[in-house]
Amino acid sequence: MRHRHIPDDILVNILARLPGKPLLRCRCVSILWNRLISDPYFMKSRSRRMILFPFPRPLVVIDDNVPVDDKAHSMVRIRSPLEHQEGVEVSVVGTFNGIVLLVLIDVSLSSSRMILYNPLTCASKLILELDPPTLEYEPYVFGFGYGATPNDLKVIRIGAFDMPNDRRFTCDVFDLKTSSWARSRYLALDFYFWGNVGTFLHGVLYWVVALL
Amino acid sequence: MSSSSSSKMIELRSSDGETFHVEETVVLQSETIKQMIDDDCANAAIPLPNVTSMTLAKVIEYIKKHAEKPKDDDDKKVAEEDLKKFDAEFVKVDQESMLFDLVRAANYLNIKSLLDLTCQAVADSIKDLSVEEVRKKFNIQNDFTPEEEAKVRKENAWAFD
Repeated sequence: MRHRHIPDDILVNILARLPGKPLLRCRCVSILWNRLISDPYFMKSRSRRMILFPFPRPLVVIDDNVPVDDKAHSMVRIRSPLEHQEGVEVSVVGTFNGIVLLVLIDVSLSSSRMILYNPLTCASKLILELDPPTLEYEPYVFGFGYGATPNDLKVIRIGAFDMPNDRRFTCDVFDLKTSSWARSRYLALDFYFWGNVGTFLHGVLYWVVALL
Repeated sequence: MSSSSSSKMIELRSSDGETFHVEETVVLQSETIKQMIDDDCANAAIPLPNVTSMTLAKVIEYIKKHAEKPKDDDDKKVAEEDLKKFDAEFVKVDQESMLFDLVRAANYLNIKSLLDLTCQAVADSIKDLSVEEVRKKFNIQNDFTPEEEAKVRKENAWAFD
């Protein structure tokens, strides 16, 4: 029998080239393989881009790591964190290190939940439940980015409320590290948000707005 | 071959004692050997105790091909296509163990492009295999208890659809 020992660093190099599905199957090969694949540094180190579609259900992911003509591996339906849930709208608020922040809005109750979701492992974690917005016809606007360091993840939630002759917004910042809200700030803004999520780029969050 | 005949020759010795003479410009693709040459350790034959003569011959075939320099831009395009074809053929080895030997040699000799090529070839060869087939290919003993394995399979159930 030929000796087939492969050092861990080479094994990681090989595994990192696998599409999502075969990669997860490989977790079942042995305790070592499971450990290597589950390592957060392994997940982080891979430059794996994915395109996530909130519709149709269940979620669909295009794995950019795989040549497009390889349909069996490039586009996969993944287990969604909201199976068996009707009347729920999904917004992809942002992404960081392969983890996606989703806001699930219950259309009938208009209450919403924020979850972190890993499209590769399908693990999800509830971050918090949000009360319905003050004005039921104006849904919350969200943003996801980081503060002083890339580990300092923050979620911004902007809600509108009407005052006589005035239009105000509340701006709340949720710190993922401490799991707590910073004190609300009030903003007087004379515009409407287009869409309900911002884009985080080079340390700044951007939203598209329409002037009144 | 476009490389000049006046290039210095380097002697490499495989684990089974066979010697190979390769031009210095070609062999510099190996970071490990480059380091030895820079450190002035390459005056005698360089011993490569981790690489067999069969594997070393393949590695030399690869670095020789990759050292060819195209003459002009038109030639460059043709050469790139040619190199792609060469790479695709190169990893189609008769014996599977040879691919693993090449991965290890590329890693030891620190030839990045060859390591990329061979690791990708191994990844491509396992992506459609079942767990059992992967174990067989890598000669791995399943060290999970049945309960543990069932748990990991359950966690990753969607990957088995």
